[in-house]
Amino acid sequence: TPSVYDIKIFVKEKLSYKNQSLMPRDPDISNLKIYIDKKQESIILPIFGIATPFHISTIKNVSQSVEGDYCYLRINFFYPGSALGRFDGNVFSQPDATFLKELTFRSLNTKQSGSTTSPSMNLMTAFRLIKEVQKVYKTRETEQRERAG
Amino acid sequence: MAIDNLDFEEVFVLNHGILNPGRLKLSAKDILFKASKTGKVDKIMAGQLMNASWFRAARGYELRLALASGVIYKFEGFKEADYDKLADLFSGNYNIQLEEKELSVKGFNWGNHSFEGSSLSLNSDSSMTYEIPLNEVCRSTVGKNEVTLEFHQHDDAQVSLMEMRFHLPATNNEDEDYVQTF
Repeated sequence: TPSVYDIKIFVKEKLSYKNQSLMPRDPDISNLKIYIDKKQESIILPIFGIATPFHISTIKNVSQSVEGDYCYLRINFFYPGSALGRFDGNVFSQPDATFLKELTFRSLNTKQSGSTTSPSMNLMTAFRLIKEVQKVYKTRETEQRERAG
Repeated sequence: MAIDNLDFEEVFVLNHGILNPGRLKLSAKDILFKASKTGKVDKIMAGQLMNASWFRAARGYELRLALASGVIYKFEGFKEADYDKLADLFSGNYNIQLEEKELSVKGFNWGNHSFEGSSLSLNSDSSMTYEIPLNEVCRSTVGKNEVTLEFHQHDDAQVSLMEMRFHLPATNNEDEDYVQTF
């Protein structure tokens, strides 16, 4: 079992970016699409015109589904009470805050005329990349925990 | 000499999660936006303006104008250097300070959700993370410690935000506010 000291190491907050000038510039971002920054282990989501980053450590899981003409991407975040699979409840530095719990994006699954890919490509790529980044992140966290413990 | 007129040939108005291109003209009397696709013109009289803010958004910088009526206009696609000109025009003609905002980009999914006019924004570390225009909400449901917002869908948007779900701490009467708002 980890000591109090060890827990502190993991509790240390992980930041996506220190300030706005460090945010990546990418056509996907300015076209209000989802962008995954592998280096900073962050996902940048278009929320009503604002490119909003979320660190991979805040994300619990992602799921993807296709229904009819649409493709859906659901992102579940960690929040107090959802600590399953995390080290313990201490991870939340502000448990009294309001938490964003879940986000769902929708995209058309059919190709539009004149375009070689369907709009849902972005969601599919995002799904794959989030899984990848999450895997790398989790593996590293586990290794660190083992070294510390 | 203060700037009286500004003309931006290609900026975008943010509507329903879509950026529509158009031309923005600012003069001492009013602000005009002409959408290049539909030709529709939005006119804002200088006297209606309540406040103006400026921050980096998804496409370049965003000029956010709040009117006394509660209506909010969001224009994107500005360059960093446009700030000085705009700030000059706003202070000289409308007597409004163009407030420069730094958004929180730390990547947190928590903070304080607060209502301001017709929008709901998440603030973490005292700076804004995102802002949801409440007129985009088509349905809201309140559960135990939970609020769900569903948004109007627009097929023009390539990637469209559909639903957001929030967790509220046990002792919080914010959900009542939510109900009242809709």
